[in-house]
Amino acid sequence: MVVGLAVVLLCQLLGEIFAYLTRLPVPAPVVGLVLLFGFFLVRDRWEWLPFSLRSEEIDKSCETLVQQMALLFVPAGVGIVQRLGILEANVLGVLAIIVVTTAFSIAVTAYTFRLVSRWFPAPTESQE
Amino acid sequence: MTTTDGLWAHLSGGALFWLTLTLVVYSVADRLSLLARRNPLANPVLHSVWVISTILVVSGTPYETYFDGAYFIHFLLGPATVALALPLYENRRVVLRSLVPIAAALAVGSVATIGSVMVCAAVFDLPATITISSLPKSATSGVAMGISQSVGGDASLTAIIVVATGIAGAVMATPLLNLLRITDRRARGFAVGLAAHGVGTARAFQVHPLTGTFAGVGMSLNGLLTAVLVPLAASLIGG
Repeated sequence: MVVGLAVVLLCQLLGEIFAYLTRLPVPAPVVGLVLLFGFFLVRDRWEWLPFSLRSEEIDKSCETLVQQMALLFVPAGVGIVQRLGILEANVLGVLAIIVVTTAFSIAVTAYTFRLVSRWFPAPTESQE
Repeated sequence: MTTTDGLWAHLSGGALFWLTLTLVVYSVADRLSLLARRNPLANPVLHSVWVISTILVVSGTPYETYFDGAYFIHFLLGPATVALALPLYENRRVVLRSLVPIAAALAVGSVATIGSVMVCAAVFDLPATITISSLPKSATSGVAMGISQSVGGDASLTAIIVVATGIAGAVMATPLLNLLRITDRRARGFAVGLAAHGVGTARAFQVHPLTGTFAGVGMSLNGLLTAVLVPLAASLIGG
C-alpha cells in the first residue's frame, strides 16, 4: 500500500512540477496519469527494477483508488451548502446546465464515436 | 444535558467526526445502491451529498468545519485520476485500436459541452460568475477547480456544478444511451467519462470493465482539452 501510494503521489508531484515549469494549461493529475502509464510500460519490459517497484502492490493501490473514486466527490458536492443563495436565485438556468447540457454532451459524444468507428471498423470484442 | 451539549461542541468542531460521518454515510449509501442492484437512481454520491448537507444545515455547522475533516477524502481526487493509468494500461490495445473515434468524439464532445453551457447561460441570462464557473463542468473536480480559478471563476461553485453534473450524467447515462440505441461499450463509456468525469466513470466501472476504461480515457482526455478550451471560451464571454 505504501509503495503504491508513494508511486502514485510521485507521479502527481512530477505532473505538478511539469505544469509549473512549462506553464502549459495541463492538469497535474492528468500528466501524472501519463507518467504512471509510462511507468507500467517500463516495468513490464525490464527486469532490472528493484523488487518493490515490480510488486503487485502498485496495481492494488491503483485498483482501490479507482474503485472508490465516487466517494471522493462527496466533500466537494456537500459544498452546495455554501452557495445555496446564488443557486436558488438562478435555479432554472443552473438545472438546465446540469441536466440538459450533460445529456446533450453524452449524446453528441456517443454518436460521434459510433459514426467515426463505422468508418474505421471496430474490434469485435467491444461489441455487446 | 450540558454534558451532551459539551460533547457535541467538542466533536463537531473536530476533523474526526466529519471524516467519520462522510465514510459512514457513503458506506450506507453504497450498500443501498448495491441492494438496489446498482439502479442509477440509487447513486451513492447523490444520496451521500444530500444527507450530509442536511446534517450540516440542521446542525448549523459551517462548511469550513466540515471540510477540515472531509479534506482527507477530497485530497485523493488527484491520486485517483493518476491511478486511472492502470485500467488504461491493461486495456491499451483496445484503446489504441480505437484511437480515431476517440480523437473525433473528444473534439466534438468537448466543444459541444462548452458551447452548450454558453448557449444555456445566454438563454437563461445567467450571471457571469455562474457562466464562467460552469464552463469546465465536465472536467473532473480537481482539474475543473483549477481551470475555474485561472479564468476568474468561483472554484467552490465550480466544484458543486461539477459534482452535480457527474451525478446527473451517472444517473441518466444508462437509460439515455439505451434510448439512443448505442450498444458499443467503447462509445458508451467514452461519452459518460467525457460528460460526467469521475462520477460517471465510477458508474461505468459498475456496468463493465471495458465501459469503465473508456470512461476513464474520456475523463482524462477531456480534462486536458477542457483546460485548453475554457480559457478561449472565457475570453469570448469577457470580450
